[in-house]
Amino acid sequence: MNDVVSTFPLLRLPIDAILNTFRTMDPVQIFGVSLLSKKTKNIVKSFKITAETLKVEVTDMFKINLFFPSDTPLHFKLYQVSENQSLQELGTPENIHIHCNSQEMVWTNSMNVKQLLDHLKFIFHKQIDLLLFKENCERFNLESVYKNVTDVRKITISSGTHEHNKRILSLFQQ
Amino acid sequence: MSVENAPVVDVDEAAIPVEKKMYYRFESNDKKEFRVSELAIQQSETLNRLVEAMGYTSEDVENKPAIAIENIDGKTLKLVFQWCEHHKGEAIPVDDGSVPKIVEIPEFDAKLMDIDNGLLFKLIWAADYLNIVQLLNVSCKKVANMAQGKTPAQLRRVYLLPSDEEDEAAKRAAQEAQDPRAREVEEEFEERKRQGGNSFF
Repeated sequence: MNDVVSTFPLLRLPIDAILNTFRTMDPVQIFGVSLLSKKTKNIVKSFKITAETLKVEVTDMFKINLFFPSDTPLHFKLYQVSENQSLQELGTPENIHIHCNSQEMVWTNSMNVKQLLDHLKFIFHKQIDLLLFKENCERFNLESVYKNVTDVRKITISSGTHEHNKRILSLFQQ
Repeated sequence: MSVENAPVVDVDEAAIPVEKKMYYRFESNDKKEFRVSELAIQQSETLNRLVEAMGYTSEDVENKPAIAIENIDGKTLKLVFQWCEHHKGEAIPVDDGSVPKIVEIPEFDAKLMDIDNGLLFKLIWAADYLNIVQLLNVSCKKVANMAQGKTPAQLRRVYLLPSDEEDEAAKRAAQEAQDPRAREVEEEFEERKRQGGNSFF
């Protein structure tokens, strides 16, 4: 039996009301709508919802953190690599774990890391402010991080071996 | 105060305090008439400007026809005026541009908006047309709340958001629907050219 879904024709509202509706959604819902088509992606972009900070964190996890002026952060966890796993390449994670407003969700995903970052940069009008390399960041293939995380304004290295840190600097200073 | 008891439509004259309050009469597009207090009207920038421009006296209100609101039906207008009466005298919120915009739905508003989505849709159009800022805020928040906890696929179903393929198909259909006329215009243009005219107009 089909689920009965209560529907609402959002895009047939006046433009002020569409904007108002998007602005009262949590960032995760805005992001969700933006994924649905080129049209919704451009609509979300046109509303100029601007993130305050976009941060990428490489530890034993690969995370993307977005912060908004209203203090509602949006966190994406794309990978988690345990100690005995082989070197992790950044590709297209099957699922993404999203945390927003005390809610934890797992969404199936079809974008690779670069596409996801480009999408977030596009809809939330923000470049990557900070790329953080922290403890256990060596579990990720550095070249794949370099290829996927582009146009970074600042890099912070807070842990890791001397050799690995030298490689980070030489790669990202190219 | 419950929605049912909100002092909006068919106001009991006896309930009006000694000092005579100004009321206005409005008529929906399906000929339903409403008497609404001057203070309640202030919630609507559109109606407030309208009644200011009309400069009606109490006698005018009684003697002249009710002010027609031609694009809103009675069922929707009743909700709008119930909301305005309940919130009369309240400050109109100023938008600080924050995202997400924090909007709380008060209990009265939640009950008022315990309606089907078709009526909610009309209520939002009415709030936008009448420029009732806070009614637009709470009604849009109710629509935004439909997205709570939904995956993208569920959001597509709830908000009826078409895919790229569906958008393309709709665009093609619209172009095809326009084509006969476009062809006629083109043929007319060619005919005039053959007849030696320099200009289409």
